[in-house]
Amino acid sequence: MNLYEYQAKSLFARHGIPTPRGSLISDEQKISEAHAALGSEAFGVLKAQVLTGGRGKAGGIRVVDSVEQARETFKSIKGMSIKGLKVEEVLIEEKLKIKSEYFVSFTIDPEAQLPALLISPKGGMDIEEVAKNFPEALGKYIIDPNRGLPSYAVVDLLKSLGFPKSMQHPLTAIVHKLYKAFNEYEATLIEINPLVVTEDDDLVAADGRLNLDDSALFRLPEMAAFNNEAKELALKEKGVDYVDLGDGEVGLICAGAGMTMLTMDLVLQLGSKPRCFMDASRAVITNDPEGIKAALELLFFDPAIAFICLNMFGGLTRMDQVAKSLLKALDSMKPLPDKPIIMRLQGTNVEEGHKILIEAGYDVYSELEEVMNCLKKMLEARS
Amino acid sequence: MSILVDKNMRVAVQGITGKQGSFHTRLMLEEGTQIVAGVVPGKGGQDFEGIPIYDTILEAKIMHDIDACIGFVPPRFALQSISDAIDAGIGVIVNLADGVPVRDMMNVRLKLNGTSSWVIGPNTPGIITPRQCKLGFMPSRSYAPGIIGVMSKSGSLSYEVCHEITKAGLGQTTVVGIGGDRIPGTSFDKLIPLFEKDPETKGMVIVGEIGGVAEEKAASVIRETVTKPVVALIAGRSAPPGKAMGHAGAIITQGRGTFQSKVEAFRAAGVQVLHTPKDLVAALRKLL
Repeated sequence: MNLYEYQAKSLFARHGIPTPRGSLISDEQKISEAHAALGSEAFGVLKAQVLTGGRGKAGGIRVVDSVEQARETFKSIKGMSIKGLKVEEVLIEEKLKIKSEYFVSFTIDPEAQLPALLISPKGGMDIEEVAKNFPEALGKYIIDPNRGLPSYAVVDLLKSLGFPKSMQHPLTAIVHKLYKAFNEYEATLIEINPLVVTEDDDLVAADGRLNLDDSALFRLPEMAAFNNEAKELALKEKGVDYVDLGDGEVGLICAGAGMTMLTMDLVLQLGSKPRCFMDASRAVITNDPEGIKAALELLFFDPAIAFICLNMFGGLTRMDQVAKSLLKALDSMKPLPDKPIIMRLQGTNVEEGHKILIEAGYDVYSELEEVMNCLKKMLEARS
Repeated sequence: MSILVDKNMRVAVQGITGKQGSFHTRLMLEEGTQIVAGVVPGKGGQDFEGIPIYDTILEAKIMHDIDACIGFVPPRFALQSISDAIDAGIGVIVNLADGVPVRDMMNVRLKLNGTSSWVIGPNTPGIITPRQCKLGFMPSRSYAPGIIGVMSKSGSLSYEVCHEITKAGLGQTTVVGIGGDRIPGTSFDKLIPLFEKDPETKGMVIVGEIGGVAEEKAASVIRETVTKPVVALIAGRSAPPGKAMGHAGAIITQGRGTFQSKVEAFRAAGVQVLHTPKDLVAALRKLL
């Protein structure tokens, strides 16, 4: 589960990491209150709360000078869609008098497979860019979880990266607080970019990211309560792993994450776009009619989806059971919109599975290649 | 021959009496797996269809000289069951659970340091040496004894690829599912030297996906030490950055773990990257 900026900042604040003054605006009334709280000089910056980068470029982060301007901007941001994600909430914050911008994060380093501190005096830009164009400005420290993060290691790193001496002490304090939060919430990523140095030489977390390990939520009920991406969570509970990719005309329902990814890739290769990642294997394995129905409904009743591709290769999953569950779900959804559903079943009990679907009047394939050829022909016929 | 598991392995099943454990034990026995003990805390002294059950894996090891174990336990208990097996000195430890916390696997990896145990998984269908030893739930009909060593992050894609390898008449020596998590028990770079040394393995297949640097590390090892042909498939080219594609480890973060990075690493190591399982096997045949 990824947290929104405002959620991440509230947790940072709990750990003593300074964040800008501000409040969440769910409706226009709150804007005057925010203006009163922040004062006209510091009022204000409006920030779209969405779980994606590139908000600024998309016009989701805007500076305003008056309550009127804030109202207009709020209306405009709230209706926005950034990289396919709808903006439901907007954060309004004080304007910071920015002197410099730093970057600091903790992640699970993919190479060492251990926690890693990543820090740079070049904040305010994509870390990938810093890594590519200014590698000498990026410092990394791999942490032995049993040893923890020694203060001397942080100070050494700050010195080697050329941070001002006056910043060593306050920065080290923030780094330790951030590491504590990273562990407490069992995060896979915690990031402050930019960590602003104001003209008064105060350090303030101007932005915040916090990505949680979904597998650890069972032992962190407070984190689980955030309930972000509720639609995906509801589907997950029914045994369907779903990621909305925003746009695309081919709806997918597959079994297995790898198989789903490959099917997405093959659709792309055909010149079309997959609308979603959808791994329904758990629903299919536990034979959950709710899950399969929810998955099919999402695809059939979305007007933007023109073709549906179902691709399942069962190990544990029995294809005769899959066929029965599919038919049951499809029957309960009638009348179905006139949308082609190209099906491929393979693996355990495949012959029975095919028989069941063919007898019900559906076409079904055994090989991956056949499905993609069929989709290819349909795409060509359409254009 | 094969790597890690063969018909001589003496296997214990942790959780043998549970719904999953009992169901799969029967299927594994059908493949020829020598399951000689079960481990279920509190049920020591009972038996499962003639297989003796012990309270701890250590007892099972002492009584039956266990070589390998497979755990059918909920994800929150994976750390415990794997740690117990490492302490008992079990050589090959398989855990299939989907949803093991990252920090638990980090602890498993730290615990493995200085031991010679292998941990396969979690979040995997398991490991199979066809017709000899099956530790997991992969569909037996898609596999046949043969000459190709397969390593995969994805379970479903490993079935698809092995289906093609079997159709092509090549068969597999051993198929290892390393799983789709951020911190797996083992990875491609550790398995490749085993396949390189195995006289029956004539070629290798890597089924990777976006996220992490397992493929990049594999490419390094291949470039330095491997003489046998290797081909690869990488899923997730179409995945957007920052979103996990089902598998916890299939995520591009801070620019790392991209499709391009993996393709480039493999190309530099002389490993062809193909885009469909069929093309993968066709390319492999040409190299054999």
